[in-house]
Amino acid sequence: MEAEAAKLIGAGLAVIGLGGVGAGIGNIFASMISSVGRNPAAAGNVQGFMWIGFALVEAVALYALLIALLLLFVF
Amino acid sequence: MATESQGDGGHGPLYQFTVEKFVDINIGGLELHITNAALWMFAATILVIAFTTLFVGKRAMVPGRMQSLVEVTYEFIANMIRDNVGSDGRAYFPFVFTLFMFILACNMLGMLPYSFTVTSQIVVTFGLAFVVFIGVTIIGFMKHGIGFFGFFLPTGVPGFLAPLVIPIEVLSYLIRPVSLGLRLFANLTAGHTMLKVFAGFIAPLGAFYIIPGAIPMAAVVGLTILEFAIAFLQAYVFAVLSCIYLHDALEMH
Amino acid sequence: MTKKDHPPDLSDLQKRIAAAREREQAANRPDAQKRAMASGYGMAIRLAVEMVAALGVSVFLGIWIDGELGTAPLFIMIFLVMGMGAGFINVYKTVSGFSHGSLRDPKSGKKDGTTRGD
Repeated sequence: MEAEAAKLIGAGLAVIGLGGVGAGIGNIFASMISSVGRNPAAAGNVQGFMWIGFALVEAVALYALLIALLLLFVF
Repeated sequence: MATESQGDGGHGPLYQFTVEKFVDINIGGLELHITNAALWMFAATILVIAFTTLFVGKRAMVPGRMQSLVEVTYEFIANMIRDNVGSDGRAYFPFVFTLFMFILACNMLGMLPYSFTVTSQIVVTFGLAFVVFIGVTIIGFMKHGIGFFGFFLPTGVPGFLAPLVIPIEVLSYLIRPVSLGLRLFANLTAGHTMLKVFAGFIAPLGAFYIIPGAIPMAAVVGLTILEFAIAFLQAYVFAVLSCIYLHDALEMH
Repeated sequence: MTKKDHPPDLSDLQKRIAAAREREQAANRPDAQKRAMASGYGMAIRLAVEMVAALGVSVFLGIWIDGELGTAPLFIMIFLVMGMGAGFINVYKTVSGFSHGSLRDPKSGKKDGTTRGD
């Protein structure tokens, strides 16, 4: 297998990790919705932590993108 | 990235980012060609200058609609500087205002059909970010002299941890311009690419009795609204982070 | 008109001006709460990009230094660890400022996150 084909296959495989990212983001917002549903007054307090959690999960998605781009264009 | 044409001579979704030369100008070996990026930057500059000067012509005490728009923008930035830098930051108001208005104008002009988004070029965003970074570092050295290096050792760190903390602090300081420029570039490029990708689905799907073409059309409408919001938000985030870095340089030790 | 009253009035005026200026400075001092960005989505994107930029820049530095010196994975791994540390430290600094701001509500004067009553 030549290097070019291996790079493309590797980049495609690297993006598989985004499935976990989708599950993580859904988890965060589902727990936010259920906690606000139980206690609407707590919405303001929980909102900050929700955005922080979203940022960290999004960072994992960007890591996967970084590795895919690294495989395609650097090696 | 390859911008290959698809099908019968159309363009891929990345074609919108190609920089084309219009007028070749070579001055002593330096290539100062007028490109479409330069034209749209001129347009953004003229737009900002027109916005702030033409509308304030009469300088009425009770502002009319347009003048009050300019005043609201002025107060928005002035409040942001006062909240993030303190009262010493008023000297840097022209710089932050110019930065914010230029990035906002470039982002918004990129939303026009057939236009070129200047801030989707990584060279432009890194240029702006490095201007801010180098400027803030020089300001820090001018204000604190050599003591500016004390910024890299936060207070309350035990002595034996210092050789571990200092390289990490230096690294995270050097990363600031990269993250500043990368954020603006990535948001705008990803947004515009997604717009073109979804727009490219409309015609092929619409060829099947038109109705299936409405789905990507709705997605494009939603994405355009999101892109307007992101255009404003990214300009605001860039300006706020510049103010925060300025505050760190002026006061953090 | 009694000219003898003017000098004490003026010196008092200077003190009052200085006191008023001091009060305005104190009111305008930036507090950690406002320094955190207003929009949640903006802060989230900022954190994500900072973590990735930290890792990307340090790995890039590691690859470049290894290209120069030829010590194959050593500097890549060192800078990888440093990049992860730098990214997490940036996130921690941003988050600690934000959570202090969101937990302390100056309007109600309560120091914890509870909102009594309504």
